[in-house]
Amino acid sequence: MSDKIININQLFSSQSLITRQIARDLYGLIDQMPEDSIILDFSGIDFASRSFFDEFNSYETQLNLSGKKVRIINLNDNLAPLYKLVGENSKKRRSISYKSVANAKVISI
Amino acid sequence: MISIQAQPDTISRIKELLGNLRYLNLLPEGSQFAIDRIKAVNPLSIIPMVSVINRKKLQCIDQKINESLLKVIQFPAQKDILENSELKRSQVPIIHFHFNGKYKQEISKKLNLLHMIFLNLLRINIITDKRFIELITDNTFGFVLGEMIDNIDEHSNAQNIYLFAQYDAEGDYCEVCLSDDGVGLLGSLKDAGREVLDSNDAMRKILGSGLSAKTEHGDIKRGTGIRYTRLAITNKEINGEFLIMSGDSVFLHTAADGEIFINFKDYFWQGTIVMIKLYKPVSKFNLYRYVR
Repeated sequence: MSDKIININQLFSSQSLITRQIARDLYGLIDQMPEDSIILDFSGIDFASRSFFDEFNSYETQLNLSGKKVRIINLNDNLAPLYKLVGENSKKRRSISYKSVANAKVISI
Repeated sequence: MISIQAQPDTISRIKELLGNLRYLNLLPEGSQFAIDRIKAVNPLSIIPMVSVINRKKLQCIDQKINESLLKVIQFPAQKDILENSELKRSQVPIIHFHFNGKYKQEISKKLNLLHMIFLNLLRINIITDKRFIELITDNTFGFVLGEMIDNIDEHSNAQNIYLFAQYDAEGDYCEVCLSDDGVGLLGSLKDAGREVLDSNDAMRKILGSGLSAKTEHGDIKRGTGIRYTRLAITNKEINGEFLIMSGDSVFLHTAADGEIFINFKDYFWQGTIVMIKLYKPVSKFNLYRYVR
């Protein structure tokens, strides 16, 4: 079966992809498609949030299990490093360190 | 009466804000209020008051409002951004979204659009120094605004959000404040079944260990949005400030002075307020040096 190319800008009529809900909607659409090889074309997308990529990445396992292969193309110079960062962090989320706030000053007003 | 003075630091502004909020809290719904003096207008001082004034349908009877910047930014009027043709001016008014009765997907689309429009407003209308934008970069603003907006969509269950930004050319900084009237940090965690005692405990666990209301395929998922926002803003290059207020607690993190919790003795904010303040860096800022 040939690749199904989806232009994300046209699909959502937006140059920004911010919310996790948008990522869930995208996953839902892909899941319904008969094609098993899907290309997401990000031409015209100026900005996508870390949360959007993080949420979409979380469906990677489900997509693999359903035999679907998804590829992302045409990320701009700002989004390509963010997408890579999110992919790397999703694999090591449990080891991300948080700086304790126990030593923060406290005042009451 | 309301008083908005030029305060030397953010803690002083919070004290002044608290006084104003306590005053507004005592007023019956639909009643009138006056303004004692207005010496400065900034997002953190204005946005929480606007939220209360609109919720309680209070009316400002003071003529001072007509002579000041408050009139220009349409304090405390409500505007739906999608219908507001006055946005393309240098003094962008306070933006108000109302979500009553809308479906999740519809709210999400509207918030998505808000991000796109507001980012353009920051670039073109609000921040008049183009060098400021070049150095901070669209990417930085887009990133932190994206985190703030997605948190509202995911966790707040809000009916109303207010957004306002201001660029101070003399001080070389931009301040953005976003507030919602949702369930707040404590409410969000409790609704998700997390063990938290009160607002301060909720805030400490979110900030200090990434406790989140999110789950992923049944497992509790750690939150990283606030962590990344703080890293992006409170480094030595941006030298900025990050503030979050929810319930009876405020957390303020400044690059200059570190971290502080401010506990309110007798006031409770229903919802969440986030303020970010970014100063002009000396060279082009690379967000990914800090967000990794």
